[in-house]
Amino acid sequence: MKIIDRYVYTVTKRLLEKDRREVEENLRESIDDMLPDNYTEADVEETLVTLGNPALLAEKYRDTPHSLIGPALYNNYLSVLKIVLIVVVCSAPLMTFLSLLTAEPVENGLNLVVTFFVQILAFIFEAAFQAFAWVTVLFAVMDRVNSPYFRWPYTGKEWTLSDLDDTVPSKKNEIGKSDPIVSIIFTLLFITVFGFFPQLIGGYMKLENGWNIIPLFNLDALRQYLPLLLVSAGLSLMVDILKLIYQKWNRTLAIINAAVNVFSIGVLIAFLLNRSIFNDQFHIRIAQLLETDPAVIVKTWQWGVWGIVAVAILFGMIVDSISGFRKAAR
Amino acid sequence: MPEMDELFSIFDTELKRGTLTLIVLSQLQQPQYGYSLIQNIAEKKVEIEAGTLYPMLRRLEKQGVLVSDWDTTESRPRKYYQLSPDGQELFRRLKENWARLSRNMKEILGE
Repeated sequence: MKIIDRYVYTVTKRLLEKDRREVEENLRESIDDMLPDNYTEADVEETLVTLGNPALLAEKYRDTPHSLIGPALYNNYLSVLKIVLIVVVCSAPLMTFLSLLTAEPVENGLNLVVTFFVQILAFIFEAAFQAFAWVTVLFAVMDRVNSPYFRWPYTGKEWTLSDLDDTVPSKKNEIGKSDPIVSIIFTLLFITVFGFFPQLIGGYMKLENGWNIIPLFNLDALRQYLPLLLVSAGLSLMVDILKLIYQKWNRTLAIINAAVNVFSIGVLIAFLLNRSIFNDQFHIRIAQLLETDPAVIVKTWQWGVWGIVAVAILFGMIVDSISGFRKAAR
Repeated sequence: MPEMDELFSIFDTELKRGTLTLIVLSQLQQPQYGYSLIQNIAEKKVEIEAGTLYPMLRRLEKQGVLVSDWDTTESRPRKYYQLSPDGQELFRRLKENWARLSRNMKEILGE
Protein backbone atom coordinates (compact mmCIF):
# COMPACT_ATOMS: atom_id res chain seq x y z
CA MET A 1 0.00 0.00 0.00
CA LYS A 2 1.33 3.38 -0.99
CA ILE A 3 0.00 5.17 2.07
CA ILE A 4 1.95 2.85 4.38
CA ASP A 5 5.13 3.66 2.48
CA ARG A 6 4.39 7.36 2.84
CA TYR A 7 3.71 7.04 6.56
CA VAL A 8 6.83 4.91 7.21
CA TYR A 9 8.95 7.32 5.20
CA THR A 10 7.65 10.31 7.18
CA VAL A 11 8.72 8.56 10.40
CA THR A 12 12.10 7.20 9.34
CA LYS A 13 13.37 10.31 7.59
CA ARG A 14 13.47 11.90 11.04
CA LEU A 15 15.86 9.24 12.34
CA LEU A 16 19.59 8.71 12.01
CA GLU A 17 20.68 6.94 8.83
CA LYS A 18 21.98 3.92 10.74
CA ASP A 19 18.69 3.31 12.58
CA ARG A 20 16.35 3.78 9.62
CA ARG A 21 16.35 0.29 8.13
CA GLU A 22 15.76 -1.41 11.46
CA VAL A 23 13.03 1.00 12.59
CA GLU A 24 11.33 0.72 9.21
CA GLU A 25 11.22 -3.04 9.55
CA ASN A 26 9.87 -2.80 13.08
CA LEU A 27 7.30 -0.20 12.09
CA ARG A 28 6.03 -2.21 9.11
CA GLU A 29 5.69 -5.26 11.34
CA SER A 30 3.77 -3.18 13.86
CA ILE A 31 1.37 -1.84 11.24
CA ASP A 32 0.89 -5.35 9.92
CA ASP A 33 0.30 -6.56 13.47
CA MET A 34 -2.48 -4.03 14.00
CA LEU A 35 -4.32 -4.73 10.75
CA PRO A 36 -7.16 -7.25 10.74
CA ASP A 37 -7.26 -10.19 8.32
CA ASN A 38 -8.34 -9.24 4.77
CA TYR A 39 -7.98 -5.57 5.55
CA THR A 40 -9.25 -2.75 3.36
CA GLU A 41 -7.86 0.63 2.50
CA ALA A 42 -10.04 2.13 5.27
CA ASP A 43 -8.52 -0.26 7.84
CA VAL A 44 -5.05 0.86 6.85
CA GLU A 45 -5.99 4.50 7.21
CA GLU A 46 -7.53 3.88 10.62
CA THR A 47 -4.41 2.02 11.78
CA LEU A 48 -2.09 4.81 10.68
CA VAL A 49 -4.25 7.43 12.40
CA THR A 50 -4.17 5.30 15.56
CA LEU A 51 -0.36 5.17 15.46
CA GLY A 52 -0.49 8.96 15.55
CA ASN A 53 1.66 11.86 14.39
CA PRO A 54 4.72 10.42 12.55
CA ALA A 55 7.00 13.08 14.04
CA LEU A 56 6.00 12.09 17.59
CA LEU A 57 6.37 8.42 16.74
CA ALA A 58 9.87 9.07 15.35
CA GLU A 59 10.66 10.79 18.64
CA LYS A 60 9.74 7.59 20.51
CA TYR A 61 11.90 5.48 18.20
CA ARG A 62 14.94 7.70 18.69
CA ASP A 63 17.72 6.38 20.96
CA THR A 64 20.20 9.26 20.74
CA PRO A 65 20.06 12.42 22.90
CA HIS A 66 17.41 14.90 21.88
CA SER A 67 19.33 18.07 22.62
CA LEU A 68 22.46 19.75 21.36
CA ILE A 69 23.33 21.08 24.82
CA GLY A 70 21.67 19.41 27.79
CA PRO A 71 20.25 21.15 30.85
CA ALA A 72 23.44 20.48 32.87
CA LEU A 73 25.51 22.78 30.67
CA TYR A 74 22.83 25.07 29.29
CA ASN A 75 23.15 27.85 31.87
CA ASN A 76 26.93 27.96 31.54
CA TYR A 77 26.51 28.02 27.78
CA LEU A 78 24.20 31.03 27.95
CA SER A 79 26.44 33.05 30.25
CA VAL A 80 29.59 32.33 28.22
CA LEU A 81 27.73 33.24 25.04
CA LYS A 82 26.53 36.50 26.57
CA ILE A 83 30.04 37.53 27.64
CA VAL A 84 31.60 36.61 24.31
CA LEU A 85 28.95 38.57 22.41
CA ILE A 86 29.43 41.62 24.66
CA VAL A 87 33.18 41.49 23.95
CA VAL A 88 32.54 41.22 20.22
CA VAL A 89 30.10 44.13 20.13
CA CYS A 90 32.27 46.38 22.32
CA SER A 91 35.48 45.75 20.43
CA ALA A 92 33.81 46.33 17.05
CA PRO A 93 34.32 50.13 16.81
CA LEU A 94 38.02 49.97 17.67
CA MET A 95 38.76 47.00 15.44
CA THR A 96 36.93 48.70 12.57
CA PHE A 97 38.87 51.89 13.20
CA LEU A 98 42.11 49.93 12.91
CA SER A 99 41.12 48.26 9.68
CA LEU A 100 40.10 51.64 8.21
CA LEU A 101 43.46 53.14 9.16
CA THR A 102 45.25 50.51 7.15
CA ALA A 103 42.81 50.60 4.23
CA GLU A 104 43.07 52.81 1.16
CA PRO A 105 42.08 56.40 1.95
CA VAL A 106 38.61 57.47 0.86
CA GLU A 107 37.85 60.72 -0.90
CA ASN A 108 35.62 62.76 1.38
CA GLY A 109 34.63 62.99 5.02
CA LEU A 110 31.04 61.86 4.70
CA ASN A 111 32.09 58.67 2.99
CA LEU A 112 34.49 57.90 5.79
CA VAL A 113 31.81 58.19 8.48
CA VAL A 114 29.37 56.05 6.50
CA THR A 115 32.04 53.45 5.76
CA PHE A 116 32.98 53.40 9.43
CA PHE A 117 29.45 52.62 10.63
CA VAL A 118 28.73 50.13 7.87
CA GLN A 119 31.96 48.31 8.67
CA ILE A 120 31.18 48.27 12.39
CA LEU A 121 27.87 46.57 11.64
CA ALA A 122 29.56 44.16 9.24
CA PHE A 123 32.20 43.34 11.83
CA ILE A 124 29.60 42.72 14.56
CA PHE A 125 27.50 40.58 12.22
CA GLU A 126 30.41 38.45 11.07
CA ALA A 127 32.20 38.14 14.40
CA ALA A 128 29.01 37.51 16.37
CA PHE A 129 28.12 34.59 14.11
CA GLN A 130 31.63 33.20 14.37
CA ALA A 131 31.58 33.54 18.16
CA PHE A 132 28.11 32.02 18.40
CA ALA A 133 29.13 29.08 16.23
CA TRP A 134 32.35 28.34 18.11
CA VAL A 135 30.85 28.61 21.58
CA THR A 136 27.96 26.38 20.52
CA VAL A 137 30.26 23.77 18.97
CA LEU A 138 32.47 23.80 22.07
CA PHE A 139 29.54 23.23 24.41
CA ALA A 140 27.95 20.60 22.15
CA VAL A 141 31.24 18.67 22.24
CA MET A 142 31.45 19.08 26.02
CA ASP A 143 27.90 17.78 26.28
CA ARG A 144 28.78 14.69 24.20
CA VAL A 145 31.99 14.03 26.15
CA ASN A 146 29.97 14.46 29.37
CA SER A 147 32.99 14.45 31.67
CA PRO A 148 32.51 15.08 35.41
CA TYR A 149 35.17 17.80 35.04
CA PHE A 150 32.61 19.96 33.22
CA ARG A 151 30.26 19.98 36.17
CA TRP A 152 30.66 21.94 39.41
CA PRO A 153 32.93 21.57 41.45
CA TYR A 154 35.04 20.72 38.33
CA THR A 155 37.30 18.36 40.29
CA GLY A 156 36.11 15.24 38.50
CA LYS A 157 35.02 13.77 41.84
CA GLU A 158 31.85 13.66 43.86
CA TRP A 159 31.34 17.04 45.57
CA THR A 160 32.00 17.46 49.27
CA LEU A 161 31.14 20.24 51.69
CA SER A 162 34.72 21.50 51.48
CA ASP A 163 34.13 22.34 47.81
CA LEU A 164 31.72 25.06 48.87
CA ASP A 165 33.19 28.56 48.75
CA ASP A 166 34.44 29.92 52.06
CA THR A 167 32.26 32.96 51.70
CA VAL A 168 29.28 33.94 49.65
CA PRO A 169 29.76 36.99 47.41
CA SER A 170 29.21 40.25 49.20
CA LYS A 171 29.80 43.89 48.39
CA LYS A 172 33.28 43.53 49.88
CA ASN A 173 34.69 40.67 47.84
CA GLU A 174 32.61 40.40 44.71
CA ILE A 175 34.02 40.98 41.24
CA GLY A 176 31.57 42.69 38.92
CA LYS A 177 31.28 41.34 35.40
CA SER A 178 32.11 44.70 33.80
CA ASP A 179 35.73 45.01 34.99
CA PRO A 180 36.97 41.73 33.50
CA ILE A 181 34.95 42.29 30.32
CA VAL A 182 36.43 45.77 29.80
CA SER A 183 39.85 44.31 30.51
CA ILE A 184 39.30 41.52 27.96
CA ILE A 185 38.29 44.05 25.31
CA PHE A 186 41.40 46.17 25.91
CA THR A 187 43.67 43.13 26.00
CA LEU A 188 42.28 41.94 22.66
CA LEU A 189 42.84 45.43 21.28
CA PHE A 190 46.39 45.39 22.64
CA ILE A 191 47.06 42.03 20.99
CA THR A 192 45.63 43.24 17.69
CA VAL A 193 47.57 46.52 17.66
CA PHE A 194 50.93 45.14 18.80
CA GLY A 195 50.62 41.87 16.94
CA PHE A 196 49.30 43.10 13.61
CA PHE A 197 49.52 46.90 13.35
CA PRO A 198 52.57 48.05 15.39
CA GLN A 199 53.43 50.54 12.63
CA LEU A 200 50.25 52.47 13.44
CA ILE A 201 51.46 53.45 16.90
CA GLY A 202 53.25 56.70 16.40
CA GLY A 203 53.05 60.37 15.56
CA TYR A 204 50.52 61.38 12.93
CA MET A 205 51.31 64.32 10.69
CA LYS A 206 48.91 65.76 8.17
CA LEU A 207 50.36 65.97 4.73
CA GLU A 208 48.75 67.24 1.59
CA ASN A 209 47.79 63.79 0.37
CA GLY A 210 46.92 62.04 3.61
CA TRP A 211 48.64 61.21 6.86
CA ASN A 212 52.26 60.51 7.50
CA ILE A 213 52.94 58.19 10.41
CA ILE A 214 56.25 58.18 12.24
CA PRO A 215 56.29 54.92 14.21
CA LEU A 216 56.95 55.29 17.91
CA PHE A 217 58.66 51.92 18.10
CA ASN A 218 61.62 50.45 16.34
CA LEU A 219 59.68 47.67 14.64
CA ASP A 220 62.56 45.17 14.47
CA ALA A 221 63.29 45.55 18.17
CA LEU A 222 59.58 45.36 18.97
CA ARG A 223 59.25 42.07 17.11
CA GLN A 224 61.72 40.45 19.53
CA TYR A 225 59.56 41.42 22.47
CA LEU A 226 56.36 40.36 20.79
CA PRO A 227 56.24 36.74 22.11
CA LEU A 228 56.68 37.94 25.70
CA LEU A 229 54.08 40.68 25.26
CA LEU A 230 51.60 38.18 23.80
CA VAL A 231 52.21 35.67 26.61
CA SER A 232 51.63 38.46 29.09
CA ALA A 233 48.39 39.44 27.31
CA GLY A 234 47.30 35.80 27.24
CA LEU A 235 47.87 35.45 30.99
CA SER A 236 45.89 38.60 31.57
CA LEU A 237 43.00 37.12 29.53
CA MET A 238 43.20 33.99 31.67
CA VAL A 239 42.92 36.01 34.88
CA ASP A 240 39.91 37.89 33.48
CA ILE A 241 38.21 34.62 32.57
CA LEU A 242 38.91 33.23 36.06
CA LYS A 243 37.39 36.39 37.53
CA LEU A 244 34.27 35.86 35.43
CA ILE A 245 34.06 32.23 36.59
CA TYR A 246 34.66 32.82 40.33
CA GLN A 247 32.76 36.14 40.47
CA LYS A 248 34.45 36.90 43.77
CA TRP A 249 37.94 37.07 45.20
CA ASN A 250 39.48 34.03 46.83
CA ARG A 251 43.01 33.10 47.83
CA THR A 252 43.84 31.14 44.68
CA LEU A 253 42.59 33.92 42.45
CA ALA A 254 44.50 36.55 44.44
CA ILE A 255 47.73 34.54 44.12
CA ILE A 256 47.29 34.01 40.37
CA ASN A 257 46.36 37.67 39.92
CA ALA A 258 49.48 38.82 41.81
CA ALA A 259 51.73 36.41 39.89
CA VAL A 260 50.40 37.55 36.53
CA ASN A 261 50.75 41.19 37.63
CA VAL A 262 54.40 40.68 38.55
CA PHE A 263 55.09 38.89 35.27
CA SER A 264 53.30 41.48 33.12
CA ILE A 265 54.92 44.45 34.82
CA GLY A 266 58.30 42.70 34.54
CA VAL A 267 57.78 42.33 30.80
CA LEU A 268 56.60 45.94 30.54
CA ILE A 269 59.67 47.24 32.40
CA ALA A 270 62.11 45.18 30.35
CA PHE A 271 60.34 46.41 27.24
CA LEU A 272 60.12 50.12 28.07
CA LEU A 273 63.57 50.46 29.59
CA ASN A 274 65.27 49.02 26.54
CA ARG A 275 66.32 52.19 24.71
CA SER A 276 66.60 50.54 21.33
CA ILE A 277 62.88 49.83 21.41
CA PHE A 278 62.04 53.41 20.47
CA ASN A 279 62.41 54.79 17.00
CA ASP A 280 65.11 57.51 16.85
CA GLN A 281 63.25 59.22 14.03
CA PHE A 282 60.33 59.80 16.34
CA HIS A 283 62.45 61.81 18.78
CA ILE A 284 64.12 63.70 15.98
CA ARG A 285 60.79 64.73 14.49
CA ILE A 286 59.48 65.96 17.83
CA ALA A 287 62.67 67.94 18.31
CA GLN A 288 62.22 69.47 14.87
CA LEU A 289 58.64 70.41 15.64
CA LEU A 290 59.56 71.98 18.97
CA GLU A 291 62.76 73.42 17.53
CA THR A 292 65.00 72.05 20.26
CA ASP A 293 67.91 69.70 20.57
CA PRO A 294 66.95 66.01 20.07
CA ALA A 295 69.11 65.12 23.09
CA VAL A 296 66.75 67.13 25.31
CA ILE A 297 63.77 65.27 23.92
CA VAL A 298 65.44 61.90 24.48
CA LYS A 299 66.23 62.88 28.06
CA THR A 300 62.67 64.05 28.74
CA TRP A 301 61.37 60.91 27.08
CA GLN A 302 63.45 58.79 29.42
CA TRP A 303 61.98 60.53 32.43
CA GLY A 304 58.51 60.02 31.06
CA VAL A 305 59.14 56.32 30.63
CA TRP A 306 60.46 56.06 34.19
CA GLY A 307 57.28 57.78 35.33
CA ILE A 308 55.09 55.29 33.45
CA VAL A 309 57.09 52.39 34.90
CA ALA A 310 56.77 53.79 38.44
CA VAL A 311 53.00 54.29 38.10
CA ALA A 312 52.63 50.80 36.58
CA ILE A 313 54.55 49.21 39.45
CA LEU A 314 52.65 51.15 42.09
CA PHE A 315 49.11 50.66 40.80
CA GLY A 316 49.30 47.69 38.49
CA MET A 317 51.51 45.54 40.68
CA ILE A 318 51.30 46.61 44.28
CA VAL A 319 47.87 48.17 44.73
CA ASP A 320 45.98 45.73 42.50
CA SER A 321 47.70 42.63 43.93
CA ILE A 322 47.24 43.66 47.55
CA SER A 323 43.64 44.64 46.98
CA GLY A 324 43.07 41.15 45.61
CA PHE A 325 44.44 39.54 48.75
CA ARG A 326 42.53 41.90 51.04
CA LYS A 327 39.24 41.24 49.29
CA ALA A 328 39.94 37.48 49.31
CA ALA A 329 40.41 37.60 53.09
CA ARG A 330 36.97 39.09 53.77
CA MET B 1 -6.44 28.36 38.08
CA PRO B 2 -6.88 28.19 34.31
CA GLU B 3 -3.85 25.91 33.66
CA MET B 4 -5.10 23.33 36.17
CA ASP B 5 -5.91 20.71 33.53
CA GLU B 6 -2.62 21.27 31.77
CA LEU B 7 -0.71 20.96 35.05
CA PHE B 8 -2.65 17.83 35.97
CA SER B 9 -1.83 16.14 32.69
CA ILE B 10 1.91 16.86 33.12
CA PHE B 11 1.96 15.27 36.60
CA ASP B 12 -0.30 12.45 35.50
CA THR B 13 1.99 11.55 32.59
CA GLU B 14 5.02 11.56 34.87
CA LEU B 15 3.24 9.36 37.38
CA LYS B 16 2.25 6.79 34.76
CA ARG B 17 5.48 6.66 32.79
CA GLY B 18 7.18 3.96 34.85
CA THR B 19 4.06 1.92 35.51
CA LEU B 20 3.42 1.43 31.79
CA THR B 21 6.66 -0.54 31.39
CA LEU B 22 5.80 -2.63 34.42
CA ILE B 23 2.35 -3.41 33.01
CA VAL B 24 3.84 -4.50 29.68
CA LEU B 25 6.43 -6.72 31.43
CA SER B 26 3.70 -8.31 33.57
CA GLN B 27 1.73 -9.31 30.46
CA LEU B 28 4.70 -10.85 28.69
CA GLN B 29 5.34 -13.80 30.98
CA GLN B 30 3.48 -15.67 28.21
CA PRO B 31 4.29 -14.92 24.57
CA GLN B 32 2.04 -12.32 22.99
CA TYR B 33 1.98 -10.23 19.86
CA GLY B 34 1.69 -6.46 19.97
CA TYR B 35 -1.95 -6.05 19.08
CA SER B 36 -3.20 -8.70 21.52
CA LEU B 37 -1.10 -6.97 24.18
CA ILE B 38 -2.90 -3.68 23.53
CA GLN B 39 -6.26 -5.41 23.82
CA ASN B 40 -5.30 -7.32 26.98
CA ILE B 41 -4.09 -4.17 28.65
CA ALA B 42 -7.20 -2.26 27.54
CA GLU B 43 -9.36 -4.94 29.17
CA LYS B 44 -7.64 -4.09 32.45
CA LYS B 45 -8.87 -0.50 31.97
CA VAL B 46 -5.39 0.88 31.29
CA GLU B 47 -4.93 2.85 28.11
CA ILE B 48 -1.80 2.28 26.10
CA GLU B 49 -1.36 3.83 22.68
CA ALA B 50 -0.08 1.72 19.83
CA GLY B 51 2.37 4.54 19.06
CA THR B 52 3.85 4.10 22.53
CA LEU B 53 3.75 0.32 22.77
CA TYR B 54 5.53 -0.70 19.55
CA PRO B 55 8.59 1.52 20.07
CA MET B 56 8.67 0.32 23.68
CA LEU B 57 8.68 -3.34 22.62
CA ARG B 58 11.52 -2.65 20.21
CA ARG B 59 13.53 -0.83 22.90
CA LEU B 60 12.95 -3.58 25.49
CA GLU B 61 14.06 -6.21 22.98
CA LYS B 62 17.20 -4.19 22.20
CA GLN B 63 17.92 -3.96 25.94
CA GLY B 64 17.63 -7.75 26.20
CA VAL B 65 14.56 -7.64 28.44
CA LEU B 66 12.37 -9.28 25.80
CA VAL B 67 12.94 -11.92 23.17
CA SER B 68 10.81 -12.23 20.05
CA ASP B 69 9.86 -15.11 17.81
CA TRP B 70 7.83 -15.42 14.62
CA ASP B 71 4.84 -17.71 14.75
CA THR B 72 4.15 -18.96 11.24
CA THR B 73 1.65 -21.69 12.08
CA GLU B 74 -1.40 -19.40 11.83
CA SER B 75 -2.91 -17.88 8.69
CA ARG B 76 -0.57 -14.90 8.91
CA PRO B 77 2.84 -14.79 10.58
CA ARG B 78 3.03 -12.78 13.78
CA LYS B 79 5.89 -11.60 15.95
CA TYR B 80 5.50 -12.85 19.53
CA TYR B 81 7.28 -11.17 22.42
CA GLN B 82 8.16 -12.78 25.74
CA LEU B 83 10.32 -11.98 28.79
CA SER B 84 13.91 -13.18 28.47
CA PRO B 85 15.47 -14.87 31.56
CA ASP B 86 17.03 -11.51 32.42
CA GLY B 87 13.64 -9.89 31.83
CA GLN B 88 12.04 -12.35 34.26
CA GLU B 89 14.55 -11.38 36.92
CA LEU B 90 14.04 -7.68 36.18
CA PHE B 91 10.28 -8.06 36.41
CA ARG B 92 10.48 -9.98 39.70
CA ARG B 93 12.59 -7.25 41.28
CA LEU B 94 10.45 -4.42 39.93
CA LYS B 95 7.32 -6.16 41.18
CA GLU B 96 8.80 -6.45 44.67
CA ASN B 97 9.74 -2.82 44.56
CA TRP B 98 6.27 -1.86 43.43
CA ALA B 99 4.69 -3.78 46.32
CA ARG B 100 6.89 -1.92 48.78
CA LEU B 101 6.25 1.40 47.08
CA SER B 102 2.49 0.95 47.05
CA ARG B 103 2.46 -0.08 50.73
CA ASN B 104 4.43 3.05 51.56
CA MET B 105 2.24 5.23 49.40
CA LYS B 106 -0.91 3.85 50.94
CA GLU B 107 0.44 4.70 54.37
CA ILE B 108 1.55 8.17 53.33
CA LEU B 109 -1.61 9.05 51.45
CA GLY B 110 -3.85 7.49 54.09
CA GLU B 111 -2.61 9.86 56.76
